[in-house]
Amino acid sequence: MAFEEVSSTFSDSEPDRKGSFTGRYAVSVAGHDAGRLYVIVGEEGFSGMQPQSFLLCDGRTHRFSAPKRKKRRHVRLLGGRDEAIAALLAQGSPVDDSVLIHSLRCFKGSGGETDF
Amino acid sequence: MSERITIKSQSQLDKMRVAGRLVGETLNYLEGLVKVGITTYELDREAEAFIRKNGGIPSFLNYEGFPASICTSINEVVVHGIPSKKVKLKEGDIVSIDCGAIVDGWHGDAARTFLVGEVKPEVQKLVKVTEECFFLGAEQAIAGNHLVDIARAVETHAKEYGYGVVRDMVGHGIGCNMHEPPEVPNYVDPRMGRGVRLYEGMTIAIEPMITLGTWRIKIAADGWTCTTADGSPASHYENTIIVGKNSPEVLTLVK
Repeated sequence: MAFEEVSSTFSDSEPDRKGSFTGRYAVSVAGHDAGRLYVIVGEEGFSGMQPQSFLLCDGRTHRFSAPKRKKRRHVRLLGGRDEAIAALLAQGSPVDDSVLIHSLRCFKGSGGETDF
Repeated sequence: MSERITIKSQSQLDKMRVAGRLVGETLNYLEGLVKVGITTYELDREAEAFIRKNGGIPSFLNYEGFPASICTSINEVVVHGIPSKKVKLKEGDIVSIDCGAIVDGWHGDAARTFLVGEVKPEVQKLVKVTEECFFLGAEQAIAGNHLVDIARAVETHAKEYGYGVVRDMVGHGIGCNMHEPPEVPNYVDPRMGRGVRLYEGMTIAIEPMITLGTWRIKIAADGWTCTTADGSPASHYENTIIVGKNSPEVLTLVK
């Protein structure tokens, strides 16, 4: 099974990796919340260019004020990113929980594919 | 992915030989089943039954939530296609089957791309060249070389034909975990330098993923299915190998 290399080592579009996962959608694949959909609002514990864990919010169970921390291997990145949320996070601005809820609802409803 | 690159002992390598052989035999068995009209779900059921009957555990099943024992990736799907009752193989398709097994705690991992009926000549060529890319890369998997030597061999050969070399999915170390360090890319990125030095006894999976068009991919909302960004066909060939002193040992190729 191929290993998904998500660092920018192989992409020529994002030379600076810090912050480049924020705003992306992810699903938990381990733990009590397995199967739950989230938005990545932060990255932690960099080893080289890769974050070792993500900070996740869904606006309800895990609000922006108290994101859930999960190890990278316990999270599956999905094909999609909310650019508006990513931009807010890049500025250091908080994200309203209603925005997160709406974003996730739209992503579930779309069912489509998004380019990297 | 676990944290350290490991050199396996002889007893550990013996166990990996057993796991690798089972994976190779499973793929040989599945090759005989690939035909027009069979569903990818049926292939998955056959693979799981074969692996279990022969003393193994399918390693893909429930791995990070993956719902099947094999990946079945048809035409523009590069890797990680999920088997389905609704997907039947059609004349002219190419289907990449990726399979992994655990025997006595040790992993094997391999993939083949099979032709279904009469396939367009340019796509047949893609499949053949992808397999050649693997063997050219594997020749470089000897002690003293570096990961870049494998990557260069794979990429150079693919680019001779104008093919795309997928970057966002890579090969990997393997042992008592499916995915271990190091990552084994199929293309050269100058920012990487030479990459990790190879030592005798390292076990890695080399897996070129080559397309008729772009190297870019996209991943579906299911979080798994990986397709070419431009819809061009893709081929995948993989084996688990032991880095040798003068030549590698391919564990998952059973004649």
